[in-house]
Amino acid sequence: MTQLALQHYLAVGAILFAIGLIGFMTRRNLIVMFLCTELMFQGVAINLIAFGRFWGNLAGQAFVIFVLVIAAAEASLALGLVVLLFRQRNTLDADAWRDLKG
Amino acid sequence: MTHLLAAIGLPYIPGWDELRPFAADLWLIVTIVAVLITPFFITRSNIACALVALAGVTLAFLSQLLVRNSPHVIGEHFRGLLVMDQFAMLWKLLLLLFVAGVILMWFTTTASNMHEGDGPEFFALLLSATLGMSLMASTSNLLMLVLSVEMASLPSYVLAGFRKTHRIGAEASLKYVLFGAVTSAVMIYGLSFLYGLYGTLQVGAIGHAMAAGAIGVGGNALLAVALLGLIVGIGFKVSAVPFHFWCPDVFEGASIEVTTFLSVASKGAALVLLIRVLTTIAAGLGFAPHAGMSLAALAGVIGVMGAVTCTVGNLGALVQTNIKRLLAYSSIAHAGYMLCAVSLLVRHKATIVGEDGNSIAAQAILLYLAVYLFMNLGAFTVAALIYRQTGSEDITHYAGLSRRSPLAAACMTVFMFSLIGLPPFAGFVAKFNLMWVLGTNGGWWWALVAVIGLNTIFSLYYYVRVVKIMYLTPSDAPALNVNPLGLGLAVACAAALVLLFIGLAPLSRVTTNYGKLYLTSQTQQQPAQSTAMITGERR
Repeated sequence: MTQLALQHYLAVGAILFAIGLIGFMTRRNLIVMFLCTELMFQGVAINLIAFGRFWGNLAGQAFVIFVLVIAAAEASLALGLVVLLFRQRNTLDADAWRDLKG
Repeated sequence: MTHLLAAIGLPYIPGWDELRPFAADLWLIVTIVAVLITPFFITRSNIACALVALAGVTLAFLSQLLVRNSPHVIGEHFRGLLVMDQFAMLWKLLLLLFVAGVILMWFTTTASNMHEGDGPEFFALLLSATLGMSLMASTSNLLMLVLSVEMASLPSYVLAGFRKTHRIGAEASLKYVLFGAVTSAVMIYGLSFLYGLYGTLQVGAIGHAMAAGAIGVGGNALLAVALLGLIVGIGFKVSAVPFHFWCPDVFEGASIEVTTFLSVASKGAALVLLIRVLTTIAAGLGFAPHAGMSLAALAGVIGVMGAVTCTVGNLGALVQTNIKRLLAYSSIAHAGYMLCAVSLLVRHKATIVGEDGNSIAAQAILLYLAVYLFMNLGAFTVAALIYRQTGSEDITHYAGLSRRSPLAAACMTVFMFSLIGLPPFAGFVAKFNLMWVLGTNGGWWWALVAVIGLNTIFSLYYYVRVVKIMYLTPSDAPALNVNPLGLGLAVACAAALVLLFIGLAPLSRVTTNYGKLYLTSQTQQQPAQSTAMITGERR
């Protein structure tokens, strides 16, 4: 049985990040889109923890705490906005908001 | 527990010497709290909050003026998390001056119809974003980089959608948050690789590690991902071309003083951050064009991005009829000009960084921002005054303005000519200086000079069109009774543009003196030795 090495963690991080990015670009439901950005942030967090462990310093772990806080702040802001938008149009489809263009 | 904390140097209590250089930022924090508690003491508090915010920004500005260039001040603080130097000092002064202007502008535009009780939140958000932008100039650590960018971004998202009942306001905010969240995730993903490759969050130490060839895992491909992530994140804030889609929409949807704030402060802060980070890394590499990651390639990417950005901005502006959208595309173009100058940072040391860390590119961008601040503040103020009277942002409604409000029309003309870069206004000094700096470097930088020159000709069309409508298109609309405070602000900005043109020698002396970046000279903080690995050994 092979042991887990750094690259396995990086691979998981990259997969989470990629799923998030692809989901963000293909889905049109606002809540799913914001969930996908959360997924991207989780990929980043796994990356940082793996590198922190690899280098044996605390910088990576400290960074992760801040990244989680940023992700939470962004999510709360985004969900508040989704509520506001839903009240205006009664839909969560991102394509409903296309008045601004040019 | 206590000895564990002591081992990593905690508890850490910063001394007065460390806090004093950041007096302006501390005043901003105090002001944010003061603005939030104002409604407990004063009812109907919007105006009171604005006055408190204005007083706080003024205090911050004055305290920043009192910070001297002493050896105690210049250098790294808070264990390398923040850095203070002349470059950061001048940016903070410009930013605070600009924010004071934006608050004055608020009095003339939104003050009378802002919902009662929204004032504290509005100014707390505005000042929080200002704090983030102020810290962006001082980052020398990847963690502080992310925190300051998010500190500037999150309040900006809310500000963009602050007109809650306004239909396009919410849409603007939505677009801003969606793109902003994704680009910041991409940026942090890139930065995680930068940390992973070199094992430290200190930007200076990363540069030195790069020079030592200490590439950890994966090598150059991962380094490219890391730098790409950084460029995506900052490019979004600057509205550089593949990431500029949000800019016109947000600028049109947000209320006009928020648009003004974002157009200069947000873009300027991102450019300043880019200069800081890239120069610090390049200094670690000794400004050798082909060391480590290829600095020349990085400069090329940024230069091309700048050239494309200013071209797309100017071409997009040609067809606009809404003044806010027009100025949004114009601000994309101006950000492109400044990005062209950023590409100089990674040129070799002899021409770019003098013996005292003087950066020509930093000087060119500071000078540009100092002038651009007045041009945009003024142009948006006039637009706001006219919007307030006519309820229209369409430039066709500017017809006959020379008769309806001669002073406003004259001011707008000054701003338009200055934005083109025509003498005798300061816009000429800024643009000429930028082109001069690019040209003296020779090589492919001449192509950038040519692109900027060509773009100036494109931009002539849409700026002059505004002036033409104001002066030549007849209109029988009644005279405008514009707000005297707003008119005063516009006249002050126009006067500043003329004065800065006359006083271009002192202006360029100031920006040259302040265009200095603090660069760590020697390797100071080697990445910690790996103690335990998941596999038991480092590859």
